[in-house]
Amino acid sequence: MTLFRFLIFAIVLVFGLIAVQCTPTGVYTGKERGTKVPILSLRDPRLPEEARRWLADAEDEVAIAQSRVDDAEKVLTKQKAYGESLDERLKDAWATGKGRARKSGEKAREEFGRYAAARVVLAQAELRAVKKSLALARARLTQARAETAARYDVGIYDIEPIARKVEVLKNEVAEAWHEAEDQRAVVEKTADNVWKAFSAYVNKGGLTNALWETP
Amino acid sequence: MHRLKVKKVVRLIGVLLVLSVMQPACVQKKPVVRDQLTVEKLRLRITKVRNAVAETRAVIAASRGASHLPELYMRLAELLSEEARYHYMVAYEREQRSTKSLHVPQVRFLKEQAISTYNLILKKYPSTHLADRILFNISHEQRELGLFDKMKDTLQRLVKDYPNSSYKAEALLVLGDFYFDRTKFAKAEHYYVEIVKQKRSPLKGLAYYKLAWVYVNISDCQGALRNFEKAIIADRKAFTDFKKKRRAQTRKSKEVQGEFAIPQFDKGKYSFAGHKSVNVQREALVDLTYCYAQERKPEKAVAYLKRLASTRESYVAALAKMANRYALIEQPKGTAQVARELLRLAPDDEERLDDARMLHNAVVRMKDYSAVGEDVPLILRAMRRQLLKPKLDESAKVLLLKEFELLARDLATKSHQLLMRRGKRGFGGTQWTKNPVSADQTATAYTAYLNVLPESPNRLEMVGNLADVLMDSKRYLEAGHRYRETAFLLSKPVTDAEVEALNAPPKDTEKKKRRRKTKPKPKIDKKTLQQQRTRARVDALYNAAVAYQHSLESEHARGHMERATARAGMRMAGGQYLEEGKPDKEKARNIKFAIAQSYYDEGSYLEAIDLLTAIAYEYPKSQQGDAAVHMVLDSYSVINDMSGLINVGRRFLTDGSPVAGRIKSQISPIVQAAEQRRLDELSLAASGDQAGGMAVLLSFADRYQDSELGERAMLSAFVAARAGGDTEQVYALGEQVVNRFPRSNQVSGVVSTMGRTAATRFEFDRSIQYLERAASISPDEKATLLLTAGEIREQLADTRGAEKNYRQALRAAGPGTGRAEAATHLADLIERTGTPKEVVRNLTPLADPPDPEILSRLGLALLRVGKQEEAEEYFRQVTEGAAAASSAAQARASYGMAEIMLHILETYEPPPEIDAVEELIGIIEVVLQSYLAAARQPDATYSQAALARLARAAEVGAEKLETIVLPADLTEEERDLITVALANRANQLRADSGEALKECARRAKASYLFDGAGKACVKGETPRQDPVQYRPLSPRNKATALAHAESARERLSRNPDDLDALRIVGKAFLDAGDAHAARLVLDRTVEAGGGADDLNLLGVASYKSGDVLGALAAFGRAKDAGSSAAVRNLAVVCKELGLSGFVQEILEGAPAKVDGVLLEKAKSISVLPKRGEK
Repeated sequence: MTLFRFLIFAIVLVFGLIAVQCTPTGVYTGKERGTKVPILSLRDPRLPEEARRWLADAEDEVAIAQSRVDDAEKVLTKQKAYGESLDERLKDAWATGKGRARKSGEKAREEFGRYAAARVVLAQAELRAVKKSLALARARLTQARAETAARYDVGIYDIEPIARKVEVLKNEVAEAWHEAEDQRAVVEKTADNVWKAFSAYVNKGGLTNALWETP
Repeated sequence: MHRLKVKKVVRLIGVLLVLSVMQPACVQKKPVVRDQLTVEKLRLRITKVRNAVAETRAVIAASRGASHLPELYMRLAELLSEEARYHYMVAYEREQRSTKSLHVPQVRFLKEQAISTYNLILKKYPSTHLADRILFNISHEQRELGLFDKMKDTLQRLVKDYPNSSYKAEALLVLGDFYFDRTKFAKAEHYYVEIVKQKRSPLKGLAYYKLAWVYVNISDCQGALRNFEKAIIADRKAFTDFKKKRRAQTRKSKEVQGEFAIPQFDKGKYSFAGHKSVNVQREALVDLTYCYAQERKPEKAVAYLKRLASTRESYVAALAKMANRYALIEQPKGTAQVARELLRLAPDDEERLDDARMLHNAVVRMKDYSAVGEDVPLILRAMRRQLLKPKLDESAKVLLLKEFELLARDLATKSHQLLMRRGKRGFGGTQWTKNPVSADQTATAYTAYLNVLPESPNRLEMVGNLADVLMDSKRYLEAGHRYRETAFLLSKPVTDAEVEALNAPPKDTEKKKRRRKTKPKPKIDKKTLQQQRTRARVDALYNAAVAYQHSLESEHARGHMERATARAGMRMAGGQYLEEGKPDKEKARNIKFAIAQSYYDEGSYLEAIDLLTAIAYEYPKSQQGDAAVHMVLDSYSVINDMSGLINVGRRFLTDGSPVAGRIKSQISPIVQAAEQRRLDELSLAASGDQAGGMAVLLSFADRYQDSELGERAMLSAFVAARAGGDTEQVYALGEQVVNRFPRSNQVSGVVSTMGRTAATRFEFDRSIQYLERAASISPDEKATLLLTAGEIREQLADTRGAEKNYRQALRAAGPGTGRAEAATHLADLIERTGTPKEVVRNLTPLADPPDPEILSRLGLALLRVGKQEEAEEYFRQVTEGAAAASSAAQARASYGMAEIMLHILETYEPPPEIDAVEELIGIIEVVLQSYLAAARQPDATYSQAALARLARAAEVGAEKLETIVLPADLTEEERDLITVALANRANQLRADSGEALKECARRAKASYLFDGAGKACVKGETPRQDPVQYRPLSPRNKATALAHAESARERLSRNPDDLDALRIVGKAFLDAGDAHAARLVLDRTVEAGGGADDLNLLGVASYKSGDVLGALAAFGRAKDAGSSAAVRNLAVVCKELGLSGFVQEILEGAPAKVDGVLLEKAKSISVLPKRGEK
């Protein structure tokens, strides 16, 4: 072994030892550092009850958010089906009158169509928002795990990117809900138009029976 | 591979071919074995019996004198009798069983041989135990030979000679039968009665049965019935006993007996007599029907027979006979009941058809359709079972079907007619029947009809009828289904056959024909029929919808399935009705409302909301329209869509809305409550940790920006931002509220909150600005807000601004506490910053009404300008109303009174009289006591000043006593005594003065209160003047911007007790040179739990802002808490005050290492070693 090789070996050995010495238990280095946080068990004996409750609450948040996503998906499906049903029922039904009633009927049908479409868009917006909320809940869970691990000396993580991600998601959630709320305003405006058109159609002697039919 | 398979297949085919060729060779024709002829069998038996006879004869011949000879003869006689029977049977068979009266010589010969053999036994062995049996056998042979008189004699001999014989009953029975056959019923009765008198006899039941028949024949039906019943009971008992015995015997016997073997002990009893074949129970039951029909009530017949019957077969047989009997005597009630039971239980033979017909006739005749729901299914079942029989040809089937369809339809429709008539007349009407028809029964009848005859040409009418009946019986769901079925049937196109059938002449009786001649039925064409059906279909659909609606309304307790079905049916029927019919407005409204309600009840609110809203718009001011409005709102409420509820509610409440005014007033509070609820929800979400809540709330506020709801939303958003510590939002939203809703009564609150938020963040100037703005908006809060603003200004050395605020507050405050508070603030400010003259000038107008805070300050100011009398008056007022005065006011008053007394003492020039000496001594005591009273007050400043002035008062008193001029008329001795006493008292006073000074110095050092009094005491000087003086703050050096403090301020917005943030902001102010602001922040830091360094910093800030006393107190506390920097800082300040001795005390033993912020002058101070240390 030449001296040069020996030196290289010694340097590597020293750095390796330093790295091992300086790396406490639970440190995640390299690619995983700061991004991947392993699941902390709620039964982990190293954690006090308060920390477990904190984690459990964060997990609950995820479950609740997931449930809201499921509900929103159902609502969307229902809104779509209802829109189709409405379209099927009213198609040609209100345009069979004479004169002014015919025109009013067509307008009312169109408004109903817009109304149903707007409700579908609202349901989609709400679904997007709750999905964002789910992502946020997951990020918060990760944050809670990382912070708890750090607090109770179970592991060390780069908390900053996790917290930043949570903040970003918070803004995204806020934006998504804002969009949904805006769409709600659109729906309500459309509803006003629908019933205005419906009233006009009725006042002109239009028959509304098709609305009550079963498709 | 493929080739191999082919080879295998070829081989297999070859084998099969060979086998098929060989097969015919192996097969043989089986011989046909026929059954033997009966005659041949009998002949064989004759041969066997003959052999037996020959053999018996041989044995008899070989057994002369043997004891068993009677048995051998007995056996021989019986064999002969048996052979005779076989001969008779051969003859009977030969005659093709055509007659039983035959002339067969062999039989007579053999029987006579048998009789002679029996007689031989009786003659040879008269005491044989076989005698009774022999006699019975003889009688039997005699009866078969037609020798009835001889038979009678033989039997009577048996009965007479052998009363205990087991053959006695048989004999009596035969005798009874003998007379019965000859219609000698009295004699027959005698013999039968003899049997039944016996205690235990297997023939008892039969005897009763025979006896019953005797009574039948003598027309005593009651007696007959009684005996039939006894016959059944006795036979049942005998059979039970027999079974018990057999079981017991079986248990005793070790051998397992054959299934049909007769136990030994009864063998003789049961193997003859010919009565075994009579099933007494069955026959008696069947035969009693005749008398029962005559004597007893028909409605109890079925129960009676059922009770007596032991088997289903006998029960059915009896029922059949009973039915026939009732039919014969035309008793419809009994016929109906029995026929029903027969149709229920009897086997499926053709007789059931008759039973069904019988039932129909009986029911129609009685007009009792109370059981029609059972009758029709029974009748149809009988028909269907016959139809299933393969032997029935098609034409017969058609006829049967036609006939029974008519019967079933007849019963169902007649019951329906009766039901309708009852419905018209009511239950208490003239149509009274014992068994009223029920709708349920009729419905069941129709249902059975429709189930069994699905292809009936009358199905349409029957379904319609059924639907009506179901409605009548409140079975609404089923009624709805049937109405829909009717509608479906009516939707089918009319066929030519149907038109023809309708126009065909009715097949009526002559009578009906004659009646019809008067009003001929008009013919109907296909088109008209089709139109009629279309109208009927629409009616059916409407009825269906109504039925479903009734179902939903009345049967809430039913299961989910039923409710769901009813709703679905309602929508289908209602929708079709609206689509096809041209309903009048009321019907259409009802149907539409019912459909919408079905969605509402189902929980499908999406659909319900639209449909109900449509009803509200289409039928305004109607009952349904009004209800729909409420239901729409409720739907939104249930799905917690407050936004939707608000929107629709507002739409309903607008001027152009079709909703009635009465309803508007009802829904208005609902909408308002929803608005509040929605707002609460959004506010909750916005103030919580949920992201996006604020965005939604702001969006909501934007949407309703021109309304009160928008205002409330903005306020909620503002509150949420405040709670969340989002200061930028607080300021922005606050400004929006103020600008958008300037007339809102919440504006002042918003602005004041903004002011307080700014104060929390130590944005003092902004805070003052908002507070003053809020004060200008809200008259109610004006005084308080201005006082707060004034306090901040005062602390920031803006004396003028503070005074202005306080004066404004004083003007704004009403009488009472508010005014007093404002006055106190103003008085305190003027006292601290003005001269005594200014104080007197400013506070004199505030003295009315009297306020201890004002009066005490005013008194001191008057004292300082030399107006003791006026001052005394104010102090007196304070001390008299001490209970209402604060401790500070009391301290001031006590101190002021003491000062007045000291002034009196100082200015007192006693005349040379002995009384003047006493008066001087008294004045000195009063002065000292006054200062002691003031020193006991909890106010540190005036307490300390009182101690200092106490020392001065004692000194003055001593001087006065020492320099007093005694009266000239005293003796030398008196003069000496008084002089010594006065000197002693003066000495005492000087000692007291020293003590007071020491105490004062101790207190000053302990509390680091080195004001005028404290400073003098520490120096060991007695203050010659009032030592209480105030030093104003130095002018403020206002910081324009703070470096690196913004995030700390944000943190303080969320948590005002955040120590780190407080320190950061305090240091930032100090670094920026704004010591006044820093002093306030650091004071808050200490209050929030800050440590020695924070106290030291507070001292530095106080010192720099001119608050020397504050700085001393802060440094002192910091020093006590261990701050090394505070020691030096305290030393610097004390040195400036001229307390060099105390400085030495402080620096003695102080640590050399300094940790903390130092005043500029403190950096050059060196510490001293502790005493004793080098």
